[in-house]
Amino acid sequence: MKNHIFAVSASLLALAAASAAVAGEITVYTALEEEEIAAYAAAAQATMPDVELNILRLSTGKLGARILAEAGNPQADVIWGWAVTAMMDPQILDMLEPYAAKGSEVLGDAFRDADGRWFAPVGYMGAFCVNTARLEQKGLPMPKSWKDLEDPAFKGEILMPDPNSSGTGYLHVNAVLQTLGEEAGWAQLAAVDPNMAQYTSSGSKPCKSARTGEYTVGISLAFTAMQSIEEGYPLAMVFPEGGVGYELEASGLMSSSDNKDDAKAFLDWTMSEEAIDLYRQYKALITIPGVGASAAAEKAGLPADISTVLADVDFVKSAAGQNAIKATWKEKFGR
Amino acid sequence: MPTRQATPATAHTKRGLDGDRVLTAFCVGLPVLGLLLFFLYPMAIVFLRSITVADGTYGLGNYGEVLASKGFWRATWHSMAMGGGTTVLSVLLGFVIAHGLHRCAFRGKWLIRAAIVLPLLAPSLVQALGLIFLLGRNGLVNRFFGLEMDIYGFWGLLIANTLYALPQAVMIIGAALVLLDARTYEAAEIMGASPSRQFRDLTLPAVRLGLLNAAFVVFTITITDFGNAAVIGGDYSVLATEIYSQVVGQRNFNMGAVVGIMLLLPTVASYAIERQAMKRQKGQQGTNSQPFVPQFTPVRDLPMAAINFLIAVLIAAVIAIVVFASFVRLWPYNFELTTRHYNITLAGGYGSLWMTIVISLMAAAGGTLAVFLLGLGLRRVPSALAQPLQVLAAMPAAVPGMVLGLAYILTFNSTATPLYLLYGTAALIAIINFYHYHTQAFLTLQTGFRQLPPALEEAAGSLGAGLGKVAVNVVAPFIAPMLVSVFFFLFMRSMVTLSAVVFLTTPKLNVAAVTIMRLDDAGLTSQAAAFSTVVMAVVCAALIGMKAVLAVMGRGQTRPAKG
Amino acid sequence: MYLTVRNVTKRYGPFTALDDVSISIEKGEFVCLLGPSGCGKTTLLRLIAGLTDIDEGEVLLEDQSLLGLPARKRGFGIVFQSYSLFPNMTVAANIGYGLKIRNVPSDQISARVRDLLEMVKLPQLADKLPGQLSGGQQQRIALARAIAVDPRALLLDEPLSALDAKVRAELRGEIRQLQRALGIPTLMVTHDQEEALELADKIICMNHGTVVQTGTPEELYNHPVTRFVADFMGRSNIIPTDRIRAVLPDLMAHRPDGPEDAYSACIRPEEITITAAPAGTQTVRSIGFLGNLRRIETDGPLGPVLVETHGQAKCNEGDAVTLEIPAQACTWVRNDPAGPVA
Repeated sequence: MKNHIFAVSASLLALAAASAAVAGEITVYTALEEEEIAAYAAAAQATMPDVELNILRLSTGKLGARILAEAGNPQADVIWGWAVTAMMDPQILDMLEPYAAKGSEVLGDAFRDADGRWFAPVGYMGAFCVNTARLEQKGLPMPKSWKDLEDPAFKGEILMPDPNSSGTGYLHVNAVLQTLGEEAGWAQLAAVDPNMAQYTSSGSKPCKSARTGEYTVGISLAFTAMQSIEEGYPLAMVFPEGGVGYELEASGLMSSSDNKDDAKAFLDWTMSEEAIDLYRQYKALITIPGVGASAAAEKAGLPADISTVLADVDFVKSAAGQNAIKATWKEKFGR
Repeated sequence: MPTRQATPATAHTKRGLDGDRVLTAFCVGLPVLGLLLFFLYPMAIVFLRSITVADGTYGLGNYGEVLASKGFWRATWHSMAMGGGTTVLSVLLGFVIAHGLHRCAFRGKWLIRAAIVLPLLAPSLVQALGLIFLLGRNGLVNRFFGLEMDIYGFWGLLIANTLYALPQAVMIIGAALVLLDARTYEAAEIMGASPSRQFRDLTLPAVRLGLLNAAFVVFTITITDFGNAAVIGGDYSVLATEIYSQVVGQRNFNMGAVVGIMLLLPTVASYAIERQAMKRQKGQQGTNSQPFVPQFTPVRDLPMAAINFLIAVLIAAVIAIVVFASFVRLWPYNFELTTRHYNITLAGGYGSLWMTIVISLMAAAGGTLAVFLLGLGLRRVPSALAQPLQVLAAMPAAVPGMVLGLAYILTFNSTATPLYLLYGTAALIAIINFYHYHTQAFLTLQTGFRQLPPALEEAAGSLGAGLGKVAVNVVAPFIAPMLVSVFFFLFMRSMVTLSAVVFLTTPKLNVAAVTIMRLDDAGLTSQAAAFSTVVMAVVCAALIGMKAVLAVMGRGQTRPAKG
Repeated sequence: MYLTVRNVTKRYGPFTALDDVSISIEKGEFVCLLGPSGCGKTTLLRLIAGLTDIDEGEVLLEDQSLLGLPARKRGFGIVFQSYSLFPNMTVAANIGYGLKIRNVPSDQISARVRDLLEMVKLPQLADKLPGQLSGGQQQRIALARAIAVDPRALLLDEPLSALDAKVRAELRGEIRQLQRALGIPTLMVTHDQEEALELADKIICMNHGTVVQTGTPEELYNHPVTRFVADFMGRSNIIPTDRIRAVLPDLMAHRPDGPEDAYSACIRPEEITITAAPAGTQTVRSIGFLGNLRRIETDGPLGPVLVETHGQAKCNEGDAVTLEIPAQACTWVRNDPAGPVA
């Protein structure tokens, strides 16, 4: 009886393995934005026509939950463009196989794993989304820094993601702590806390709420801000003085992949000239040296030297300290 | 009640018992096997995760840690308060609506029926957006009246949860009201009982099971709901947001599993209380019950109609405003009408729509059959077996969709069992949709089954009809109204439910709810609203089509199918 | 007149359920409304009960109009075909419910309930729930419940139709006994002529929403005025005028004047004497054995004629026979314009 079941499951297993091993097909998990994915995937597909690209898009947090849930039998061959703070979670790192994609050697040490398990040619930034219509209606001054948000006039007018639920929330908290130092950083966050209407669970929600005029300021993502401005919402994107938090979008090879050749070819493509050209179009934050100001950065009103607006963030430190920081945050500000 | 349920079995003739036994075993066995494989087994794996401590060994450390945290107790208190509040409000309003629909006479009931299903067929985003567009700080009501009302928090969440729970309360309470025998009321009337007295002495006792079942379902779905809490709840943290924060925010599965398992406790407790309360309630309908046809009574019907229509209008307004916003250039700043948001190319476009319909039909057909077989079989097994099975069948609602979805990955993405073959298939999505809503389907049908007179089954049985014939010729026609509403309920929920399936879609298998989420994630809220509108239109068209088919099929049958 | 229904009409859309109907019930009288399904008898009962509105006409109880008086204030008792006991109340609570509503002290209620349970011979069932009783038991309880409040009239809507034959016969006797003992004016709807014949002081035979004939059971059986009543009240031979004139001219003497097809002769099968005779004009087609009865089908110049005799038949299949029909056994009935209704 037992043997019987074993035989059946073994043959099913073989069947399943066979179907998964169809050559020329890879599964890519990503948290990049939809329109980027559409553009990149079309170009990559044209470059590698024999490979069928199966791309699954989920938000950063949900993707993490899915990858971890599948850890027993990973379905993805490649993780593509996913928050590096999440990628550096030891549970995830253990699933990755070192691979130095062609072209990734040009990246600075901060933008690739010392053991070669991930590399991050691009990233995204946080931003304040300020609803100009509501700002005017309420007679509020345009906030330029975290300090400005301490003004009691902003009471109940600011939203920010909860770092315990949202990577974007952590991005902001971490940037404040790393630029001001632990003590001053926590003091800054405490000073803004009374004005916070809500700590949301989604990173883009503060900006979406600000753009429809539900609140005045949404501490959120530059991408959502730019996209909202393009849609025509009365929104201004503000990078707080002293540096805004940002996140790298890292890619890596799953060690469980059964089609590593194609997976590697795809990772190589993400560092290709063709890909970099597309990054210029879509990405404000490109870590590849020598790639000048992008069209996207210009549109966002960023200075030629983007490093002047970015917070000075040590990602190894951000990843390592995240559990402690989240716990402290929950202790201090959890509602 | 359990001892009474066993009577039809003992009353059966000795001959033919064997064939019936096989059928009974099949009726109970098949759905129970499903519950074991697709609910209990995944939940057992979640339980294992909850007792897996940091070093990989088993222990209760995670529970200790959760129980020691301030946030957990705050969220627990919030969840209980919210669950209690929503339950009281939903059951009260649900009873008012169900009573209005089934026991009062006024025109335009179809409008109320239509409005009341809207929250079931609307994607969760629609309800959240609708409430914000309507009652938000920059919503129509505040702007029109120059108010500064703030819905984010307890009250907003209470409204949102009630909106979502109300149709399910109406469905279950309605199942208790629709089959009440008109002759019983006439007998009471002639004996001199005033309408209020009839209500107190006949209606209330008869719907007690329905009310308790509805209260149980509402409480359970409220404390497990994440979507509303995230959008409208503001800072009002609840247990479901705790799980989200652990699992999605901090990638800490084991702690999320702890909270997921803890959520089962109040549910099992409330179900046990309900069962206990039902023990005192006995009684069955007579054999030839006559459907009640209410006569117009102004004192009763005018206020009831007014309340019913008011609730219906509020529900419809929440949905309608989102449909309207999807045709507006830039809500709430530019109200120029446009169809540009319907030009959807990202996130797979409209491609997921057809697959979602197929999945939903599978979930609805398979699910209705499964709960029917289970209900039929449970009447014929000894109560020692029936009771634990009833608890099992009522439990799935206690599991938040996200937990169930992740549990399915942990369970079915494992090559250790042949069930792996299901992973990544449309069938598994249909299955998770059904088990996610198993409680509501099961309890609605149970409420109907309770009204089925055992004499009817016995009579058919004594005429030599086997269980199979009794099921098809006697039981199914009797509870047809409930079967229809369960089918529609499962279909509607499967079309739009997100939380469980978001983790089970694959690059090649996408569903409509996930497309909506991806559009919204991409910041394209208006496109997400447009896609939602299309989904709602498709669901409505499908419902009308199916109703028409039912009407044609049901023509010539004596008992009109109400749904 | 105790209870009077005067010129009542009831329509459902284009369908006229009751067309100018008038009936009356005397004190202590047991009246049966008899007719095929759809004839309006149940509608009439519900109008009297106050469960359905009247379009035209009036209902009087002891010369007082009941119009506008809600059913619960009319003081009747009712028993339905479907028992309709309150499923959530015990047998005792069911029976005592009407008294409880009238705020009768509970010790008096218990005493009354006990008496009534004795009366319907089910004293042991007081604490049972309706679902635990058989159909016959439930209907007895329903009867006890209806008479508990000393109703001004008892309305019975096919109370025996859902029961099996043996229980039905038993309960029929009990209803009759109870009604006689209590003297409650009773109106019972039924489609079963046997039931009506056995129970009723007066039968009101209805068809197509109108009263066709009213009278004692004997009157309706022996002297039906229309072909419909003759058909409905048991077996009869309906023979057209021309055949009677040709074969049995003596019977023409009582025939009312009128066109040839206005009347037919109605002859009950048991009134005919059958004799085997070579000169007979009818021929025996078949003989049916019904225990104490023989049912003999004949054919011939009279058309098909059915004869019932007690004991051994004095003829065989195929025999030529003569039929002897006394003049008083022949009733001339009107041919209904709508034709016979089965």
